[in-house]
Amino acid sequence: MNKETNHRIRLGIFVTTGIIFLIIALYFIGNNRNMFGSTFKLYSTFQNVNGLQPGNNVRYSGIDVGTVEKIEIINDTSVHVQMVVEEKLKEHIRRNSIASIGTDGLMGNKLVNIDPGTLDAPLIKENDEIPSMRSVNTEEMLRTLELTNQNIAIVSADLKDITRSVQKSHGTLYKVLMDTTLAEGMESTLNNIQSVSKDLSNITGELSSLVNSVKSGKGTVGMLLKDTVLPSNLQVTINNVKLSSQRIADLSVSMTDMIQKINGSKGTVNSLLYDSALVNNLKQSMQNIQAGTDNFNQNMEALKNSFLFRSYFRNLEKEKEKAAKKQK
Amino acid sequence: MAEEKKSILPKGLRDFYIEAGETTQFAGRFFREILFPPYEFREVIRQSYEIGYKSLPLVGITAFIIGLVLTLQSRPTLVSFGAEAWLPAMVGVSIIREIGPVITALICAGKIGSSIGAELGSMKVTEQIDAMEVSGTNPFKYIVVSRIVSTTLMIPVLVVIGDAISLYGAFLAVKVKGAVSFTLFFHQVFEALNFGDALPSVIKSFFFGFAIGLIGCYKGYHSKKGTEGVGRSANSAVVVSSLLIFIIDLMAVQITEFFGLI
Repeated sequence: MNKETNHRIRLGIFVTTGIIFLIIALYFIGNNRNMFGSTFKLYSTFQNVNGLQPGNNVRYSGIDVGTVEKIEIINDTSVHVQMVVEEKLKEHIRRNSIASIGTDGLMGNKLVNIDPGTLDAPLIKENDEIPSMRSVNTEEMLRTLELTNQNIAIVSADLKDITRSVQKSHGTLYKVLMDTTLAEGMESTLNNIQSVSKDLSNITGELSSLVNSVKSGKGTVGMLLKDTVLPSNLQVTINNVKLSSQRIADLSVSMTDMIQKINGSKGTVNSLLYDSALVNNLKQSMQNIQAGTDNFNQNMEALKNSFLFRSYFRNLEKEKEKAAKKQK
Repeated sequence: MAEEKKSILPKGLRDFYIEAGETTQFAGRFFREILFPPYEFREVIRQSYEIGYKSLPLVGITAFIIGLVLTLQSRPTLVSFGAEAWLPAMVGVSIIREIGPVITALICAGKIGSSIGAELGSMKVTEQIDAMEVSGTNPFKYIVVSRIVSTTLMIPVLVVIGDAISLYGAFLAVKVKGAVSFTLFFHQVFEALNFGDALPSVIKSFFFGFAIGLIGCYKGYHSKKGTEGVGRSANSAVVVSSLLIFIIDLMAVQITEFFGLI
């Protein structure tokens, strides 16, 4: 191999290496832009694309799956974005997958994030459009934060005033915060509350067991609630009470009638009730009878002691004693 | 003999315009000569070997160091912003888009431009070019066209290989400072790149090569004043071609921006 051929071979290797490097670089760049391999088009309409540009990435569940190809303004509130996505994603993206504009990192390029849809929705097809979600605008977020900061500043200033006035006034709140005896009192109160709650717990336990026993039909209340015969008895009783009250009502009517008759007539009962002379005569008669019976008792005692009737009365007492012994 | 008409322009400016005009004529002659046979393929290949292959070690070492140093220098700034993960992307775009082509072209302007200027200058002052004309060989076609074609074709190849070596140097620098795999590094680099970065950089390197060859050949072909002129030709070839590289780079940026590739 002469020198010239050797030089040519080296030159050939050198040039080929350079061309291969260039082709590899262009291939990788093209591959990242989805220029090679099968792809399909997908559309979404946004209200605001926040600086999205053709060539920005499209991500599905955080994986780069395509690029933005075209951005068109439809009207003042709609921007139509055309995306080129890898063909294999047709098996995963669903009609209800949601596209949103995001940022790659804190300061990175804008990109389209596609969140997976639900399994019940059909799979996406070529040239389909998926719904979009309005992304959080950084400026809007900062404006809200600024407002929040202002509010926090006002609240902190108010709190400062309140704490200062509490410290100066030495009022109830100050005592609550600073008085140590109050804390001890609070502690004992809490202990009391704890014991009360324990008692309450016991009571509720007993009540619970009581309710259970009532439910199971134990005791009077339980029987009232559970006994099936009792209601029918009660019904009978109530009916009887009703009947009795009816009869009492009739009786009262009869009584009223009788009293009216007694009041209206000049008979014996009326005289007994209203004639004072008769009453006095009756009293006198009763006194006379009392005196008569006293005298009769004396005669009877005299009779018992007389020898004619003494044996009779003794026999009578003996029979009484015998009857009492038999009973024992 | 008629008295030479006095120019209204200062001498320096006049000389500049004269040289610019002559260079344009020289370029025009190159395009005329390249279109018509005979074609000096063997000389083109020989020059390509001398210009391209033999410049590879110098370009490779320079590119490797540039990639390594650029990464090490950029890293602290990015770390202070908490954007260390962006280092491969930033270094990749910097090298491919700007540093790789320009540094390679400047190195070649120094090595090749001076070599062509000196070689052609010495041929001129030793009347070898005149001898070629007498012997019936077209010296312009044989000496100038072959060299300009070689530089125009070889500089892009050197740029591409230099870019690759430079990126490898950058990868080593990133690897030394943190656990980054080769795959991740190159994925991040190519994720950040697009055709608007790679293609203009390759295209402008053809113009860099053309400028280096053209200026080197022009300066050597128009060498004067004996051996002193040879050194001057070599020197001015490096200076003018380096300046021209930056001017072409500026124009390339403007054109790329005009077409929306940045």
